[in-house]
Amino acid sequence: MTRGEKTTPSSERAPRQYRGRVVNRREFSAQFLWIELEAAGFAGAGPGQFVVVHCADESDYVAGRAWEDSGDWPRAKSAELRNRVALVHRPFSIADMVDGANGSRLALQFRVLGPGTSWLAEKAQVGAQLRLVGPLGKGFRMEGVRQAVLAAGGMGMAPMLFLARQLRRMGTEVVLLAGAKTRELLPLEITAGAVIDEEGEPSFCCESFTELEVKVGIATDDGSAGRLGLLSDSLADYLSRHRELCQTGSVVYTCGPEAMMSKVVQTTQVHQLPCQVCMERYMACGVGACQSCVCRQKSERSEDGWEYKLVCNDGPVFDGQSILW
Amino acid sequence: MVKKQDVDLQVKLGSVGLATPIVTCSGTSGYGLEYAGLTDFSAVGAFFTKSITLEERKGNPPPRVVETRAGLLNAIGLANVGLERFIEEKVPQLKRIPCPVFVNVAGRTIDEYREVAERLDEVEEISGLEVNISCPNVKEGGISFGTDAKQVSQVVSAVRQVVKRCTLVVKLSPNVTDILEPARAAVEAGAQCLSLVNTFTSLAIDIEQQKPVLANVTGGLSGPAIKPIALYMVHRVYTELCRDAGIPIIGMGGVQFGTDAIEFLLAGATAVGVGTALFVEPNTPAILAEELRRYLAERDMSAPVAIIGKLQVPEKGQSES
Repeated sequence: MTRGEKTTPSSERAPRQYRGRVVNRREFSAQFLWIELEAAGFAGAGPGQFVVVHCADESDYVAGRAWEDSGDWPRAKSAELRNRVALVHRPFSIADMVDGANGSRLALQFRVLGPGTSWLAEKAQVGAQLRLVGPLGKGFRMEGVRQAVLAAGGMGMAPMLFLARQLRRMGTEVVLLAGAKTRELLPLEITAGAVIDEEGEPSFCCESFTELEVKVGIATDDGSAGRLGLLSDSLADYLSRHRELCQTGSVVYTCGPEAMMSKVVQTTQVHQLPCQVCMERYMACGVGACQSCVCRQKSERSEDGWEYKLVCNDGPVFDGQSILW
Repeated sequence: MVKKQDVDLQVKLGSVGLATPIVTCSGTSGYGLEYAGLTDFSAVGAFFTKSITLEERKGNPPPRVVETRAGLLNAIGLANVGLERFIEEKVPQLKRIPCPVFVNVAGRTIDEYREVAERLDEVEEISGLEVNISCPNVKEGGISFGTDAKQVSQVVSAVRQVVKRCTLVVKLSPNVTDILEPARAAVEAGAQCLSLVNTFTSLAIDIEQQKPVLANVTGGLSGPAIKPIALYMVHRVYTELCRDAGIPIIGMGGVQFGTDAIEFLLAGATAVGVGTALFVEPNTPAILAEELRRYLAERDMSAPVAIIGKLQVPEKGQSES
């Protein structure tokens, strides 16, 4: 099992380590960042899959690099004494994959929350190199889907543009319902001058989705953008208004806080629609080794009817009906 | 002059020969193939699986892991597929790992340890067993065996009786007043090798909710934060026990740089475990092996044995203070 041997039986690519060069960077606001990376050879990833990124200076925690670069013996430096440095690599949904001049471009979208994302926000400038491992996990299933409703809460937006792009490529009709506590926490670039429907009815209000002919409906908990109220209520109303969705070939895809996703799953059960859920968990390895990122699921195999599944390896995308919230 | 490529990194743990002194720590690298394609296994001296228990264990509820300053706190709770599924589903994969495999064994009772060890000793793909008497995250068994020298003796003796073929390693808990006591008990009961150390029982707190971060309340601390304590323990057990007894030590705890591995060897370890560092750079073993090779070559040394236990400590009374 040296490097280069393929071990993943599925069609999904076996994860590898890559160096990605930041080729584009957009700051939505002080909180959200969008970065695009070129990583030679990185390909074959699907929506819902993720990568883990090393979010600290290499000389802080990775052996060898400083030495190779400077010719000096690597000293531990002062990493252990510093206020806070991200240690283990951090998981990020693949936000988009676009074919570029030098192979595929991989996009990540994130909110600055802790030492890892703070480091990324500071250091992921155009030209910077990032070390990442991927593609990881099992992504969204898209075969045979004719109509798709994407329900994204807060940073649950991360995998949605890529998902919408791939679904549209397959000819699927797509709408996106996005929700957040308040307008500033909505990781979307609203098109200048666009009218956002106050009832939450989707419209062409976000440039990146408009390009894909995907309408976006917005809900905020405080009514600062779009409809006042929860995203799950917005979805319930939307499904009630669009009864034609309740037939084969329609799927709801969701990502966001668990409280919201559990309500989304309930709503889809009422409307008898399948729902695919993209879960998030703290994780250390991202490849199924550390067993940290478990989520409770129904199980026929287990005597007591449930088992833990790994979000990194068995997921992060699961059938909504199988999750025990 | 010794050239870098002429340095021979081979070491021995009991009857098992390792191509390099760098091993993976149990619990951080799964059952075997999780790191395929990410870790260069030709640089790994031995692969240590996660803990196997008699019955399947679901483990603790999430969150199971949280990062702390220069460290990682985990409370997995020995989640594993259980002995039978391990043999059926995971052992066939072990054939694809091009280095010796050690299986970590845990249990709730002495009988469980014995039963699991006896069965695994028959599996030819397995070169060694690492008895885990030090897991801090389960209510019964685990650490409670490891912190009482009498119980260490009982568990290791029971396993010793049934293990005929495999090299027997005992992984000790650092959560004791004096690491020497369980170390001595393990060696006297027949351990051929000691792993030092497992994680330190720790607590992380969420001040917003005024609750522990981990669902299990406490967890085991690993990563750079524990390295100096682990080094001290390795050095103490080496000088007071293992040097004279001829028992190799696998030193572990916060190893991340080549310097760390060298420090553990100087302190008396024969092999060095890499754990949390895999979550930072999955190919850490290859990087460490290369740095070790370079360190030895620069000093005209051809093998790790030239530095193992060679820490120069001033004789008592010679220090200036």
